[in-house]
Amino acid sequence: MVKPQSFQAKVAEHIELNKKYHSLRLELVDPHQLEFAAGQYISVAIGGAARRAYSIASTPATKHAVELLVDIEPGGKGSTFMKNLKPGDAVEFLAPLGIFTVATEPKLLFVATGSGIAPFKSMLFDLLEDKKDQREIWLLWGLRQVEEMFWEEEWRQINEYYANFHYRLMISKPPGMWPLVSGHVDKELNDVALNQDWGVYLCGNKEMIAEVSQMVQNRGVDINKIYKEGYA
Amino acid sequence: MPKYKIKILRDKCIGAASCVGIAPAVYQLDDKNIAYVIKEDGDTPENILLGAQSCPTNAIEIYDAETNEKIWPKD
Repeated sequence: MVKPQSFQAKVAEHIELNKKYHSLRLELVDPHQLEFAAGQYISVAIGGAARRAYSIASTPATKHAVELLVDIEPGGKGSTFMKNLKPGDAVEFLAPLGIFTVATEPKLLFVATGSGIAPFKSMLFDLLEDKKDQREIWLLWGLRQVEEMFWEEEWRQINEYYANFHYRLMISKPPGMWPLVSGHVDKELNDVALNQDWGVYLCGNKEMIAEVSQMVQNRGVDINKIYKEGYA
Repeated sequence: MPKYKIKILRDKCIGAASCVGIAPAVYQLDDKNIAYVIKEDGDTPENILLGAQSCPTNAIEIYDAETNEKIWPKD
């Protein structure tokens, strides 16, 4: 594990993906490079000695900057601080932190809700694009509403390009006549032939984590191969 | 005498191990992936405090060992 240290960075880009989710790219100033494992997070100083954790959404191949995904809807201290950051603003954070990283199971299932997709973007683009990993990989991602959708094009492209990657986006509260998959991530689990060969990675809301964790255990997944991250 | 008294809120800990990364001689994870303190003065006071501040769920409370004043988190 790389020893965490303090980084000074500047906001290079702040994109409002939609009304709920923002994407920020922090360019490192000092030190100017970060070594981390896909799935790890940073702890951002948000003023008054308070800190908030944000998973790194970019891959370890990018060492000079980190991409973060922020759910600004909670409206708390952390999300308000991040929402108000502008290009050029200085940010201090601790990194790399956490042990939520990909292990060696023969098959991999990732299940996310909302901003829980952030560490999986790092993990999956690292596995597929950078490491050309050939294992069977599934990603199930749940959002509440169509208006909250983002990164569709990124996932569509790697879904088309890599035959070993399977991706489903689910909207739990779709509008009428919605042509794509609706409902919750647990329904989609039926399409995955789970057994003891699978490693399962869960990130998102507590209810989903508890529910899916129990469901995959019932279908033969070893409890020690279920990895959980309760925040993103 | 250690500068700080450290209290781990086991029900809040999610095993993210940020404290372990920053001050491994003070914090470790047990077999249930929950943080515990192995040595209250195992690192500098700055790293002990930083380990607590880096916790994503504020599961580590830091108190002044002499006065018992709560240092972190600030309520």
